[in-house]
Amino acid sequence: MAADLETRLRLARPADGEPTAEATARALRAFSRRRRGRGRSAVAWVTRTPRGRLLGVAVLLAAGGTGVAATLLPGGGGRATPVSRGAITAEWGPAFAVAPVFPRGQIPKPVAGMDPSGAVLVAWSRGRRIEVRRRPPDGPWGPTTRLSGIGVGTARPEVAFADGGRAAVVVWRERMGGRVIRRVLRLPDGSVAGVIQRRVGTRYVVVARRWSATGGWGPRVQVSPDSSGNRRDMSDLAVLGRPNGAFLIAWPHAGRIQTRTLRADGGLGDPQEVTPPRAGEVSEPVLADRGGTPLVVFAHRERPVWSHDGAVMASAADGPGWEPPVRLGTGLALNERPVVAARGSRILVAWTSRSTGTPMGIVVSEHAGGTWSPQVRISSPRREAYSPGAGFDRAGTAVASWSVGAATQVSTRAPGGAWTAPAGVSRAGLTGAYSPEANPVASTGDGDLVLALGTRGGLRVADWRGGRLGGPVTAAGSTGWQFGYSGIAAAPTGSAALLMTTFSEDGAGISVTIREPAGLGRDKEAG
Amino acid sequence: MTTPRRSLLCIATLALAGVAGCGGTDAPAQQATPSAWRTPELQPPTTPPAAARIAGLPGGRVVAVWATRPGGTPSRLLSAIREADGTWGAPRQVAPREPVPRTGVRVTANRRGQAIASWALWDRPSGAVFAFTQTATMAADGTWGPTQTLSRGTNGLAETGVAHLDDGTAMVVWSGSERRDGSYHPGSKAALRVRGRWQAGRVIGDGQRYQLAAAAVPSTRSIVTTWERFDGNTKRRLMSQTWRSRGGWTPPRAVSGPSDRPQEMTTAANPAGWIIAAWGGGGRGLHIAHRSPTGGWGTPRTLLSSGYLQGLTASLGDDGTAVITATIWRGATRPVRLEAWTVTANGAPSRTVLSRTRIGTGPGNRPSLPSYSSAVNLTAGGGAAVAWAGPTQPQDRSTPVITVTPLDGSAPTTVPTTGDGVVGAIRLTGTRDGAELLEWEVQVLTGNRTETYRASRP
Repeated sequence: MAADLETRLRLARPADGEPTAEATARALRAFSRRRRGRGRSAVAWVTRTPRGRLLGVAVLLAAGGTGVAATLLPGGGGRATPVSRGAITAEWGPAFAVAPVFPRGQIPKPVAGMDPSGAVLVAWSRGRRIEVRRRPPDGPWGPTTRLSGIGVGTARPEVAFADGGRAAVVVWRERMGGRVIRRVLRLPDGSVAGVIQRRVGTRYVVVARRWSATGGWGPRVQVSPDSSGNRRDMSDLAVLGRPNGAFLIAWPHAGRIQTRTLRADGGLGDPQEVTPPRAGEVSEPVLADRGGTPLVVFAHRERPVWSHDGAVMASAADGPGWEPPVRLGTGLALNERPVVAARGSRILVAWTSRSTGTPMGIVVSEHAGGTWSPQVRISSPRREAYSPGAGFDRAGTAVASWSVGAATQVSTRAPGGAWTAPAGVSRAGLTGAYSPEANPVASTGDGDLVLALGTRGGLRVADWRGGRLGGPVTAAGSTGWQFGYSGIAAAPTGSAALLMTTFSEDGAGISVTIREPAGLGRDKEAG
Repeated sequence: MTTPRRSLLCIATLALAGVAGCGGTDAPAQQATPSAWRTPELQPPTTPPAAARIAGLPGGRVVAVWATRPGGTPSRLLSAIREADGTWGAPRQVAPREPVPRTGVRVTANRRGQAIASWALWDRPSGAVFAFTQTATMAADGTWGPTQTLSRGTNGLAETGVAHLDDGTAMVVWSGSERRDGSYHPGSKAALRVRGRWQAGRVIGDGQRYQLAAAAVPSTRSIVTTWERFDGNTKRRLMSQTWRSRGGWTPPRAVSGPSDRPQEMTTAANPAGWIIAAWGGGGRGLHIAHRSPTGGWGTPRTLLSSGYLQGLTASLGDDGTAVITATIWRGATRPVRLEAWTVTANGAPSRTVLSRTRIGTGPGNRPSLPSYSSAVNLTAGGGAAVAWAGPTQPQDRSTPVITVTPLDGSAPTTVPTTGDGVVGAIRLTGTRDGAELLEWEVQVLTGNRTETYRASRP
C-alpha cells in the first residue's frame, strides 16, 4: 500500500501541469454520478447551479484556451469539388477511434484538418513521436503513419492543406541533442535516498513533412534555420496553405515571430521575422489569408507571468518580409491563443481578455477597409466568458461564439451593423482541456459555418447557413466528460469532422466523427 | 579565540503586499543630514544577487550563497565572499550542477569562519512533488566540502534551516511529508552532525511549516529549532525544542499563545544565540517572543492586537535588538502600511510607519494589494535602517526609487532606481568601516531578465 501511495504521489504532477490520470478518473467518476435534466435553458442552468459556473471557471483556469482558425480552414489556392448542397443534411456518423488508448499519464493533443474535398488529416504526438492518419472523402481511414524519427522528443503538431487538398503538411517541434544527468542521492548511512535523472542542453528545431496525393509523405525537412535552447520557443506553431502547393510556417523564437515558406518542391524560402516594437515574449502565432496576403496574429507580453496581460499583435506580409506589427488590443490572458477568421480582405480576431475592468470576456478587433477597428468587448460585462470562436459567412456577417460558465453564446455583426446581443445556443460551455486553442467555428470555405457547441458530456454541432443558425444536433453522445472538444473542420462539400479527446478509466484516446454527403462511404466505418 | 566585532547582521527579504493598519506614527521628521548615496552601478552577472542568503564571517567578511538556473540550464549553487572593504570575490561552486532546481537555500557561519549551507533539491525541473534536503560545509579557507543528502523524498519540502556551532556541530531542519508507518505524514525533521558525522533525520514535530529555523547558541553549546505544530486549521502554534551537546533533546515547548492561530511566522537568530520569533496574521495582529542565549524564551508580547499581515520579516542585531517589518491592512477601505518595529529584549517596542497607500485595483476590478520590497540593516552600535521600495501594483512597470529610512528618527534618503523594471529583492548591509551598501535586483520588463545594482555611501 505504501508503494502504491508513493507511486501515486510521484506520478501526481506530470510535466506542464497537466491533470493527472487520477484527477481525470476522479472527474469521470464525479461526472458519472451527476444527475441530468437539471437545466431549463443555458442561463437558467447557470443561475440555479452556481457550481456549474465555478466548474467552468476552474476548467478555464486549468486549461485556458481559444482557437486557431487558420490551421483548420481549407488551404488557400485550392478548388472545391462541386457537391450537391443537399448533402449538408447528412447525419453525423459514429465516433471512430483513430488512435489506440494512450498509456496512463499521456494526454493526446491532436489536431485535424479537412481539405476542400472533405478528406481529413489527423495528427498527434504520442510517446515522443508524431503520428498521422488520413481519411479520404469516401473513407475508410488509412493506416497510422509515424512521421518523426525515434526518440527525438516531439511536441504537438499542426497540419494544413494546400493546392485544393492535393498537398498537406505536418509541422512539429523536435528535440535535438542534450545529455542526461543522472545523480544517485545517498543518505548518511549510505542507503539510496533517490535518483534524479534529467536531460539537459537540449536544443529545439521546427521540422515538417509534406504529403502529396501523388508522392505520399516526403522527407523530413528542418524548417527553422536556428535551434533554440529555450523550451518556450517553437512550442506554438502555425501553418498556412499557400498557392502552388507551398506552405507558410510560423513559430516564436527569441522574442520574435519567425516565418519560412516550404515550397512545393520541398525547398525552403528565406527566413523572415516579425519583431515587436518592445522586447518581450511572443507566443501563440496564428496565420490567416487576408485577400491573398498572409497575416500573422500573435500574442506579445513583456513578462510571461499571470499579472502581465498580453497584447494581441498582427502583421501582414510585405513582399518577402513582414510589415511592422500593429497592436490590436490588450488583455490577452496567459497561455490563451487568439482566434482568427478570414474572408477576402476582412479579418476578425477574437480573444479572451481579462483586463477590461470587468470579468474575463471576449474581445474582438476587425480589419476592414485597410484599418483595424478598436477592440470591442462583445460578451456580457458581468459574466466570465472564454473559448471564443470566430467566422465569416458568405454575406460578410461576422459570427462569434464563446462560453459563459455552462452555456455557449453567439453574437453576430452584419456588414455595417453592430454586434447583436449575445444569445444562448447550448446548455453547456465548450471547453477543450487538452486542445483548447481549436476554433469552435469552422468555415466550409464557401460561406457557411459549422459551430461546435458544448453539452454536458458530449458535443453538439450547429450549422450557420443563410444568416441563420440551425438547430444543434448531437454529434458525440459522450466524450467521457464535457472537456473533450479538440477541434472542428468543414469543407464546401458539406462534410465536417469533429475531433475529440476521449477519456475513460483506461486512459485517453482520440476519436473523430464525420458528417459527409450521403453515399460517401460512412458505412465503411461501421464496426 | 577572539570574537571579531561585526559591523552588521543583515537579512535581506522580499516583502510582498500589505495593507492598512491603525494608529502608529509616521516616519519621524528630519533630524540630521545623512550623507548622499553614490550613483548606482550595474553589477556584473557574477555578483551575488540581492536575494542571495548571507552570513557574517570573522573580520567583517560576508559569505553569500545562491542558486541559479538561467535559461533552463542545469542549476548551479554558488557562493562568494565579500571582503571587509565591500568587494565581492569570484563565485565558487558549492555543489555540483544538477538538472533540477534548488530552493530554500540557507547559510550560516560560526565564529571560526566555517559556514554551512542547506537547500532543497527538487525531483523534477518544475512543480516538484518530492525534494531532497542537502547540505555542504565551507572550510575557513572558503572551499566547500562534499554535498550530503539528508532526506529521502519529501513531499512539500520548500524551505530549510541550518545552525552551526563553533566545534562543527551542525543541525539542518526541514519539513514536509515523508513516508512513515506505511503512509505519508507531515512533520518537521532535524538532522545533526556530531563529531563530523551526519546522523539520520529525527522527527521533531508533527507540523509542517515553511518558516522553520534552527539557531546555534554558542554559550550553552546548544541548538534551538522552531517549527509549527499543526493540529488542524484552528490549532497552530509555534513550537521550540533545544538540542544540547550534553543531554540531547529537551521536551518541546510552545512559544506562541494558544489562541494566536498564526497565519504568518518568521524567526531570526544571530551568532550569539539570540532568537526572535514573530507571528500573527489572520486578523489577529502581530506578536513576538525573544529568546536570550542564557535565559531562554521570554513572555510573548503583542505589537499589534489586530490586523492582517503580509511579508513578515525579522532581523536581529548582535545585542539581540530585533527589527520586525510587515505590510499591515485591516480591510479594503483602510490604508495599507509598511511598518517596522524595533524591539529589544526588555524595552518597549518602537514603531515606524514607512509607507502608507490605498489598496489598488487589479485585473477584473478586484482589490489588489500593493507590494513592497524591503531589507533591514542592524549595526553593532544599535542603529537600524530599513531600505524599501514600493508600493508596486501588479500592473506597475517600474519602481522609481528605493528609500532608506533610519529607525532612529534620522531623515530618510532615496536612491533612484535605474532601468525599466520593478525592484525585486533588496539587500542593505554595512562594512566594517561604517559604510553602507545597498544592493537590489531589477526585474527588467524589456527582455525578461534580472539585473543587480549597487549603491554605497560612506
